[in-house]
Amino acid sequence: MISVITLILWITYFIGLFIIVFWLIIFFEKGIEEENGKLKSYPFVSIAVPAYNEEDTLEETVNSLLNLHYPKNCFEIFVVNDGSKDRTEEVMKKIIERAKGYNIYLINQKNAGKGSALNNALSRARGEFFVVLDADSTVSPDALKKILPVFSRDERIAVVLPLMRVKNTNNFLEKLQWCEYITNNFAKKLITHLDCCHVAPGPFSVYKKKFFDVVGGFSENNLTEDLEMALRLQEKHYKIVQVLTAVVYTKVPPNLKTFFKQRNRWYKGSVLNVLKYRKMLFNLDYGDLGLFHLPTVLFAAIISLVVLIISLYNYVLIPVAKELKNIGAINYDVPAVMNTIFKGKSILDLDFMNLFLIVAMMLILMGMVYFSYKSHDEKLSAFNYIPLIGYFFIYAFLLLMSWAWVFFDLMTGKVQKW
Amino acid sequence: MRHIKRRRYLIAFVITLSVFLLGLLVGFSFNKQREVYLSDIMDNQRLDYDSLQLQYAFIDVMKTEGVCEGITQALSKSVSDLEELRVKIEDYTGDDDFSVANYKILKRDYLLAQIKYWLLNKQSEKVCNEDTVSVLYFYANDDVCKDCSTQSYVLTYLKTLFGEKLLVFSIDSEFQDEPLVGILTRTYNIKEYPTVVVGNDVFPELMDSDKVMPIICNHFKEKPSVC
Repeated sequence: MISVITLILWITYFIGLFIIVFWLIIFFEKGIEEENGKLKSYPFVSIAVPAYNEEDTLEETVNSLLNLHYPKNCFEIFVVNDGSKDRTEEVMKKIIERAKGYNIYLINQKNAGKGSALNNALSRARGEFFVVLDADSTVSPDALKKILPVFSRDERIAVVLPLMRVKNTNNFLEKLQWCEYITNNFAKKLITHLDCCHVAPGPFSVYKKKFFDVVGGFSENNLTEDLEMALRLQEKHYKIVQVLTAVVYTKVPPNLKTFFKQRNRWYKGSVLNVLKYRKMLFNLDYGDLGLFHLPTVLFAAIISLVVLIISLYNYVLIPVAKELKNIGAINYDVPAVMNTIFKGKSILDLDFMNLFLIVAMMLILMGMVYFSYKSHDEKLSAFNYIPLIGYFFIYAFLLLMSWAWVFFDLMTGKVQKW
Repeated sequence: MRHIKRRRYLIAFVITLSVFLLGLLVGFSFNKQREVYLSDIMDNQRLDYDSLQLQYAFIDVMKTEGVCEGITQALSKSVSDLEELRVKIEDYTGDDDFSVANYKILKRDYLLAQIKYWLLNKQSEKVCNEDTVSVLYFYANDDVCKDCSTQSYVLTYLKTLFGEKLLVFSIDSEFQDEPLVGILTRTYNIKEYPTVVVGNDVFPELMDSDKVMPIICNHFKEKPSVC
């Protein structure tokens, strides 16, 4: 009989393989080429920059907006100082002084979170479009021009997302995230083909403002207000579209502490919000989003975590404990047994059944990563292959550790504020 | 209301299933290769055994001197190879949930070979009077016996220290119905696993190297340098 552990691992391989194969089919069926079209007129655009203690990055962020290839009388910028304790207000006042001729405003509010800051800007916005830009991100000059024509494709498009690239690539962790963002952009592009985008991230998501009249403003007591808004729009069957031509650069956490903190908020937010909109789960009225994508978001992490725990217990913890016990029983005379380690070993000793499935999954995954790099005009050898190797062999563990922390928090009832 | 293309899901399912089945097929074929590989080793062992038995019979009948050392070395090597085979059979059985019955036949074959070699060693002790120590090791599978794999490890370690002077014969408790296993179990009053028998001394507990080494050393007529 097959052991329970083997069965669980096989089921997981199958589900994992199915998900990757499914997205590859979408890729080969739909491709990722896009024709955004040209902007025929310049609609008025309102841009909101929520800022909390952003004295170091705010100037660069706002400067990138001032450098947009877009008529300066056709857009307005609201920087919402969300009760910052640093020099954010002072920095902003200097920028306003300098940026004569631009519609640029500073709104000061008591610290109430990003959702509140966005709503504050939204209540004053005059534009046909409403753009959110995190204060640690910068936007390429042609981004707005490339994004706005996309809305003319379909009346139901509510949000268009830019291509997010990592700005800081100094250390190993940042390089890993650089690679992750490339594959995520590619995945989101494929997801767009099935109308399944479930998040509109902070860096330069462009909303058609009239849809706020239908679904309301941003949630103010939500860990991931961008994800909640995306799901709210999806619930009403509005569309969220990813483009790969408009680029925005964002800063990623430079160390493990801030990385885990960020991921904890993101993943906890995604679990809580998917559960909030659970009526869409396995609901055929929501098409591929309900049948496939949201269940993947919710269950993939749980399944991966279970497999990680089983694998660590079975293939690491137990063998290591056994080996330590064995070595203790021979009075730690390791040199005497070292030369017998490979004695009598044969290639047949390998567990070919599991090995084949893992290698098959890795190869297909590598194919996906290859196409992701290609779609970004990046070479696999970028940064001497470091992000790529790390992404395959280390990154999954970091993400699963983040998920483990999220589940621990959820089970102990700990939900932090934004 | 959105539409779902069921065909996509079906194609993805079929491709996934094909890759998965291919994986199983590769696994099965390699497991079959493993069985063939182990059977081949076992066949060679049988030939080695017949050869050794013939050599001892020759010495016994012809009273030829000076050839015992070489034959004892060959016996020791055969027993070591057999132990390697045992470890492989145990490992492969753990990996392959589908061929348990086939591996059980191999294990039984191995067990009988061990007993045959043990008896041959008894014959060798009489004919050649070589200064070797033989250890009988009674073990059970890891589910029943938590210390057995450690005891195996210790005995393998001792084998690397003593070389051909130490002969370890492993007896699997799974085959209690095998008449000779029953006889050996009753002879040494085996009730717990692991149990190590050195000469006629029975030790029904995990014997680490510090405990078992002096006992083995005491059984040599002339103590080897490692003692």
